[in-house]
Formats: sequence, C-alpha cells, structure tokens
Amino acid sequence: MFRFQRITLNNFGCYGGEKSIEFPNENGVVIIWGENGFGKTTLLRAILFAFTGKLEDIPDYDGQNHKFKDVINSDSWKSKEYFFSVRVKFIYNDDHYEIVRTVKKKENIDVPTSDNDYDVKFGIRQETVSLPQTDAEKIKNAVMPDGVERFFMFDGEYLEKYESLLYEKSSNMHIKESIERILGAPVLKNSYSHVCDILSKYEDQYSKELSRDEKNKKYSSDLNKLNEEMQILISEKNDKDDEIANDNKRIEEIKTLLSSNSGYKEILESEEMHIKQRDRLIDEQKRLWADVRKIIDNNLVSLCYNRVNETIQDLKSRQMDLSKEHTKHALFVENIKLKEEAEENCYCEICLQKLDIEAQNQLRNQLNELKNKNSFVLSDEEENELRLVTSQINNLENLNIHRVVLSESIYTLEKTIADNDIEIEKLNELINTDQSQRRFYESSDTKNGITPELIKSLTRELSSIEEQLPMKIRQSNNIEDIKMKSKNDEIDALKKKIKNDVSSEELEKLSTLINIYKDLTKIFRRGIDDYTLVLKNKVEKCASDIFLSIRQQKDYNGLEINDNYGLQIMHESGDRVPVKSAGYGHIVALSLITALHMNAPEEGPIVMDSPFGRLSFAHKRNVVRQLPNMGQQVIMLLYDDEVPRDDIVKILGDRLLKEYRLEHSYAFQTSFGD
Amino acid sequence: MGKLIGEISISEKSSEIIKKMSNDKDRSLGYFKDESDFGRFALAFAISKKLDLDFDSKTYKSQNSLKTKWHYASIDSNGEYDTILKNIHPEIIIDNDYISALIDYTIKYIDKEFFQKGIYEISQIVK
Repeated sequence: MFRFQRITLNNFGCYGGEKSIEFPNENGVVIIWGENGFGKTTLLRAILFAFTGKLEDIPDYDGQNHKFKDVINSDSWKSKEYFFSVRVKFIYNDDHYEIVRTVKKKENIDVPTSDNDYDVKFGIRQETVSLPQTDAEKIKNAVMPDGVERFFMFDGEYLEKYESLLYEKSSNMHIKESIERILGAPVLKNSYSHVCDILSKYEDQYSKELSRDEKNKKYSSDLNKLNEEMQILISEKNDKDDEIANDNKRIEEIKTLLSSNSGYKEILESEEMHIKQRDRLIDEQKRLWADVRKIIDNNLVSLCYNRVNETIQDLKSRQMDLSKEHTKHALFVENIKLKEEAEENCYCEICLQKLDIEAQNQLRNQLNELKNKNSFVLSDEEENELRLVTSQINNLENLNIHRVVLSESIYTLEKTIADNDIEIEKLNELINTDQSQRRFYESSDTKNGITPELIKSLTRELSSIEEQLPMKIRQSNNIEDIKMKSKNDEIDALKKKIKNDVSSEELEKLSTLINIYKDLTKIFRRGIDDYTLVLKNKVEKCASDIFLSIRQQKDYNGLEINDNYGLQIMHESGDRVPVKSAGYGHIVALSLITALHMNAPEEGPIVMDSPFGRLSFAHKRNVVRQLPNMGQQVIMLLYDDEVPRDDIVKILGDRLLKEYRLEHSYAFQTSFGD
Repeated sequence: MGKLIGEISISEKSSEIIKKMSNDKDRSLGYFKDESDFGRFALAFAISKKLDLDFDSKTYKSQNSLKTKWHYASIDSNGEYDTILKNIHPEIIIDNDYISALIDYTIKYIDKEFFQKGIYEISQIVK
C-alpha cells in the first residue's frame, strides 16, 4: 500500500517559505478547499514534480526555457532566494519514506536566466537513511511508475485529456502500457522475459555440451548457426518493437504538445482554412469576371441591334417612297418614248395599226401635253437621297449585327459574383478575427515557445508516424509469426535428429530443461494475454458499476471496454451511445480512473483537482458518494461553490477524515489552514 | 466614309468617374479590361439608348479640361460604331471630336442615372 503522510513545499509557487500539510493515516477522504488562484493546482503540480520531476503543465511564460523562475515564489525571487523544493513523506508496504526534489541555483551563477542555471536534486530517505540513487529510483518506480501519474493525480480542468484517450480507437500504446502497469501486467511480462533468459542460457549449455565430442561438432556448429540466426531474428524483432514503442511515445508527446496548444492550433487551422476558402473564391471571381468580359467583348455591338434595325426599317420605308416616285417617272419616260416612236412611224402604240391623219394629230397633241406635264420627274436631290438611303441600308446591313440580350447573358454570372463578394467579405472578417486572436495568443504568456511552423511540423510528423506505424507492426508480427516460427521448426528438427544420433545423459537433461522452459515461455506468453483479458473484464465491470451508480440517465446500462481500455456507454437496447455530452465524458473518465485504482495490485493515493466542473448537481452528489471507493486515500482539491460543503459532510460522514482551507494573505503567499 | 483614326479624349470629370468607380467597388471595371474598354461600352450604350439624339455635339462643351486620351482604334477597332453613327447621322460629321463628346456625355449620363443611385450591374444598366 502506498499512502501520503505529509507534503512540504518550500518556495513553490504561491507557497512562500516552508509550508506543510499532514494527512491522516486512515482510509477516507481529505478535502482541501481553496478559491481560484489560491494554489490548489500548484499543490497538485508540486506533488507531480516530486515524483516525476516534470513541470509539464507549467507554461514557459517568456519562452526562454526558464520554467523554474515561474515556479519559484515571487517574494522569494525578489529576495534572491533562487530555489524551491518539494518533500513528500509516504508509507509504502509499511516502510516510511520521504521523497525530496530540490531545484537550486548553481553556485557559480549570480542570477539564473534559464533552467540550465539550476541544479536539480532528487533523493529518497527511508526513515532517516538516504537511499543510494539506484534504490531511490527503484522505490520511486515502484510507487509511481513512469507514465501512470496521470491516473493518480489529475486536474479536473484537463479531464478532457483522459476522455479523448478513452474514446480513441487509435493504438495509444503508451496509455495502454500505463494502464497495464497500474494493473500489474508488467510483473508477468518481466517473468516472461526472465524465463526467456533462462531458456537461452540452457540452449547455450546444450550447444557447448554437444561440441565436447569431436564427432558431434557438425551438429554443434549447425545448431549454433541456427541459434545465431534465431538471435538475429529476435534482435531484429526487438529493434522493430523498440521502434514501435518509440513511435508510440513520440505520438503521445506530440499529441500532448498539440493538445496543450490546441487553442493556438485551432486558431491557425481556422485562419489557414478561411484564407484557402477566400483565395479559392477570389480565383473563381477572376474566372467569372473573365467570362463576363468575354461575353461583353463579343456581344457589345449587339447593344446597337435595336437601334440599327429601327434605323434600317426607317430607311427602307424612305427608300420605298423614293423608289415609287422613281418607278413612276421611269414608266412616264417609257410611255413618251413609245408615243414618240408611234408618232414617227404613224401607228398606234397600243394596237400597232396604221394611223390616219386625224389620229396622228391626236397622238401628237397627247405627246405634247405629256411632255409639258412632266410631273413624275425626281429632283436631283431626291435622286441623291435615294442613293444615300440605299447606301445607308447596305452599310448598316453589312454590319450583320445579331440580336443578343446582353443583360440576360450576364445576369446569372453577376449574381454569382455578387454572392461570392458577400462570401469573401464574410471570410475576410473571419480571417481578421482569426488573425487578431492569433496575434493576441502570440503576444500573450500562454504561447510557450510554440510557433505556427512548429505546429505545422509537429502535425506533419504526427501524421507521418501514424501512417507508418501499422506497417511497422505488421513487419514485427511477420518476423515473429513467420521467420521466427520457421527458424524454430528448423532448430526442433535438428534437435530431434541429434537426439536420435547422440546419446548423452547431460544432453538429455539439458534437452528436458529446454523443453520445460519452452513450455514455460508459452505459458507466460498465454498468461499475459489471459491476465490482460481478465484485467480488462474486471476494469470493465468495475467501471460499469461505478458509472451506473453515478449516471442519472436510467436507460444507459453500462460501459463496454475495448482493447486499449477505451470505454463506450451502452444503451439498454444494446446500442453504443455516442457521447456528445462533456458531462458524460467526464463521468466515464472518472469511472475508468476509479476502476483502475480499485483493480491495481498496489493501491495508491488519488489526488483530484476540481473534478466536478462540468457535472450536474445530481451527478456531483453521486460522484461524492463514490469518493471513498475510489481509493484508500482520496485527496480532493475543491473550490467553494464546486459542491456545497454541507452536502459533502452529510454524504461522506465519517469517511471525510479532514478538511483544510487554503489561506491566501496575498497573491504570493498561501498557507494551509484548518 | 473613311475609318476614324487618332485620339479620343474625355473630360477630367468623366475620367474621375471611371477611376472612382474602380476604386469604390472594384466591380465596374471588373466588367472591362481597362478604361478605354469602358469608353467602348459607353459608345455602344449611347447608340442603343439614342443618347446621340439628346445632345448637340457642336454645342457640347464639357471637354473644357481634357484629361484622358485613348487611341480611337482601341475603342472601335472594326469601325462598327463609326459605321453605325455615320449611317444614322449622315448629316453630321462624325469625327474624333464628335465621338469624344458622345462618350464623355454618356459617361456622365451613366454616372448620374446609375452609379450615383448605386447601380453598378451592367445587366441592369443595359436593360
């Protein structure tokens, strides 16, 4: 069992000077009340720092790799006390220990300017004796193996980090490993590895024993060769597995970094997306304008169609009038000509019969009358006009202007252009908002050295690793399932042959041992799979029970676990419930964490900072009821309005062991009060 | 009737109208390659709306301050508008001064009747 007894902070954040808090040595809940900014999260960070040396959640405000400055109490810094420390007294398997982590300015540095200007010291005392560093590491790894701290101490405000892990079906192996570490699977894995070592030792001995006899040297050398080839395959597989493990670790590192800067990443992505959309629209506008210009260019003259047509009609009408006069005159001239010929030849111009004298005189008189009348003659002006009108008509008709309704041809394009203009304007506003948010982020203290380029490069790296990972896993499986199996078959066949040909008591004994250890490796291998399955089922059942005791939605009837310990809410109909509610995500995360603690072989303390944030009142009460079941030692850091104190006191009864209140004399000075 | 050559000029005011339009909306000039292309449009528009009948080119005196000059060929490369005007108005001498005056008058007309009323869509203007 692992339990905190006392935590002492020195110059850590708002805890100036030395401040200690004691915890009762009984099972139950301790609550530390404190308003926002009074130092609850600082206390959580201090404990994490003591056990892991990590200050991940503390932003590097000035981006100068100087987080320690932000941790050192401001008053202490002003007084040139460039150090801070955290000490945690704890009981582990009935022994008393104290873990100490100290950060202190290096002797040769006057005023530190980066984290490199400090010495960081870590040690563990057992009772009053300081343990050697290796033993200290062993104890630390036993109580808080690397990567599991997130399940012992967590900040409720960041609970979504757990939720995303829960629902991801992706192979978040690092988290899976952490969970299995809590649940004790490594004990079996270490045993398996130990059995493999012994097996390898016996195989060596067998080979040496075989080579003693000169006549068996060929067998020995063949066996050595096969064993060496097998070792190469094992090492190949180990390398591949290490590569996969490193990739998984890197995936988690990047995801953590991106998630801690998710706000900035979202702003950058939003800005990039809006700029792309706007530029696409601008390009489309250019194409549309080009189409409009082409239509206008090709059809502009058609604007004149009606006018020209109208003019042609007017001109044609005038031409017709003039032509009529012209025709009449031509007929008149023709008539005179005929009559003149008739007079000259003395015959009738109509019936062509010979005219008598009287008829000739009559014709002559008619002709004179006609000549004197001469009313059908076109004036020169009219003649010119007719020519002009005819030429105007020809000229205008030769232009060959077609009728195109320009307004209709471009109306649809104009409308699309106008709609696009509005859309571009909207996008410009969005881009301005994105940019001002980005500038604000970049100028604020939360930036933490992150640049747009870094975000892009991390995102690229992440997608590249995630893309290659399945192939690496396939390669690793291929080595084991095909190459190693085939090599093993070759070794077995050779050994069978040796057994038939060579008779030696020692070899017989070693062969038996090898077979036993081979069987053992199979048993442990199978054991790991079976144990993991059992653990998963236990965690699923336990998380499900806790979930049912907290949930208000009565038709949700449990949780289902996947291979990576992700949990899914199940509906009574048997369907999976897509979790859209932040509150329910929160409850599932709490259920998993509690289930892990309840099933861990080494039970440890659980520290939660403001875990009720997004829960409804009814859910809060249900979670409070579950607190004593979450672990033997539960330490809650709560702000006053998070849950009504009277309710907590009433629900927990004597399981509420102790309450503290963080007292805040001013911004840089917090202490623990009762 | 020979084709027109030489330069077309418009007044400073008309030139400003074209410029202002392009600055204000980035739209109207979107319809045209350049300012002289707008001049070509004005000429076609004038003929279609019979603006040539509204003004007396001899007394039209707005070109007090000539600002912009375009080559006539850039406005009427095929001589189509020249042909139309000369055949509509055989009695008038259609020369560069006449065309300049008509374009200038039309630009001011479009400004007054459309742009100043917030109408920039060519589909509405030519309706």
